Amino acid sequence: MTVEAPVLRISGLQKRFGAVQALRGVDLSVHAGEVVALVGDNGAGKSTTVKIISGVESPSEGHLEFQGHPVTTFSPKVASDLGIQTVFQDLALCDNLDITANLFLGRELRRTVIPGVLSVLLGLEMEQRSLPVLRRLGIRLPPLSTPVASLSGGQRQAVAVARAVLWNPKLVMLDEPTAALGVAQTRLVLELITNLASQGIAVVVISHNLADVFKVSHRIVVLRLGATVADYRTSEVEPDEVVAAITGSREGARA
Amino acid sequence: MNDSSAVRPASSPKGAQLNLLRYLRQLGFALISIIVLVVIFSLLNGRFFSYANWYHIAQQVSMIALLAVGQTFVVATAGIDISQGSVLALTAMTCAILIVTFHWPVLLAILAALLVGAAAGWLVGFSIVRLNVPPFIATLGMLAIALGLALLSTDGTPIFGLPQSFLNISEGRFLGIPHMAWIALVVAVIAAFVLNKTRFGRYTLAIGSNAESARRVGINVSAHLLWIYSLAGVVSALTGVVYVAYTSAAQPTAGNNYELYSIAAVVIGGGSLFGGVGTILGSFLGALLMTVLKNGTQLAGISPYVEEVILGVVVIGAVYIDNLRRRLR
Repeated sequence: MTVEAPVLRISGLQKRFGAVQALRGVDLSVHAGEVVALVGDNGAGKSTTVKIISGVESPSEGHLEFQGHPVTTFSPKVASDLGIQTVFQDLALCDNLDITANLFLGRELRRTVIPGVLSVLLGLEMEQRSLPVLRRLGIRLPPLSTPVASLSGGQRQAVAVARAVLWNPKLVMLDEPTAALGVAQTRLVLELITNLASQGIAVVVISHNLADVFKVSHRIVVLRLGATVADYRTSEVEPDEVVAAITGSREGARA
Repeated sequence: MNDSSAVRPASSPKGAQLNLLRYLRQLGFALISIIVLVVIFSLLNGRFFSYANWYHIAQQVSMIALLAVGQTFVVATAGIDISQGSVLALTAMTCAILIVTFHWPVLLAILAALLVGAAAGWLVGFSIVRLNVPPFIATLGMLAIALGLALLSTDGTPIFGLPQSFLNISEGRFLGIPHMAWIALVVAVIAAFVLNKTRFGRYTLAIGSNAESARRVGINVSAHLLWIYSLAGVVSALTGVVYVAYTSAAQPTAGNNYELYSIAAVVIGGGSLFGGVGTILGSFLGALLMTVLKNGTQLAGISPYVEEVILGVVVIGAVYIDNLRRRLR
């Protein structure tokens, strides 16, 4: 039996911002259909790790492999072309644009009128293409021409997730997807995450909420002070043990 | 209600209705103000509502509307261009000197003026994206540079003696409407199309709405801003060319204060100085409002110095209204 290669494999990732060493050795791997929770205290390096994988930042050192191929250039465009989608903590939406415009931002559907000179946005096609995705995810939204500014927190989160899923990604990363949500909306987002994984997508979730983490994840990777300190199977670990690894009161076993 | 009905496309009646309402609310202020001003000025002076005067208004509005088109794009990116008036002056001088002093063919001279405008705009854009100078300061610097160069070009003296073929830009008419108004109209229609129907326009609004989000989805924000400011420079230059034809002369003080008119036009038309919002139709109506105000106060016998005071009050008032709108949104 051959073990399938992970969708994403990171080893020895380091990142310096001037004199600050934000990452000093992050190891992480995610397989297709797997939900990996990335946990750690504030400043442990979770968001920086996600930013590097999504191409917003470049690593200072380390190795990043996507579907078995090493990644050497880092830009949002490269990541998006590889099939990496990120739902940032601040959602990275454009408030003044409507829902459709946000869903397709940076990847608009266009029709060429004069090759190389003029292409026109296909507004209706973009709407029609987003409707089944929203439906599949069970996302309820007002008319798609509504500016994102007038949506609720949960709806904005849903738009950000839908944007990530729209292009059949291989890997979706969510940075604190439930931090700003109420109980019912949190449950919806967690269902959404499970749903993504069951469709064969590799999922990385950053969360402070261990209850959420234990509900959705298959594995839990703990970062502390910019380095991976533990890698658990969720089914084989107790919350206390994870907390101990996060705070550094006990070094966790590396699975 | 089930999930599928909860997601409504904008093409549905309710979506379209919402769009129309939002649009009307945005333009309502400008439209009502224009009508009120036209009524008042017509009552104050019978000559206001005549073909001759509307012809005159059409000439004047085309210059402010052209600048407002450029300003709409800049303001939509959350920037501002206060160098428009002096870039207008510099390009007016460039065009006139090339035609009168160097006997260049009219079209070639116009092209050269547009290139000078593009270069001025590009320099502003470069200062903003590469040197991290805020748009206000970058264009303030360009205001001084362009005005200085305009004054230097002839030591401050105006240039006369432009050929009739050139003056026809202002004096000629088609279907009773001056050529320069047609130019403004065509530019505005193209700009409206670009802003609403192309990726360029979409990115312009996206950058103004949230530049960091735009960057994260892979939009090249720096390159886009360079384009915006360069094109705004070209539009200022086109206005400069039209201005020379309108006044039959080029002078370094041409277009003085015009950036204030265009900023007022954009904000009155629903654009927000905080970026991400703006329509060409709105800015066009704003330009019309400013022109009617300028023209009407002149006909009513009010001192042109008072007009400047009114302009200042209108600019501040328009931004105040923008703030109110944002709070209501």
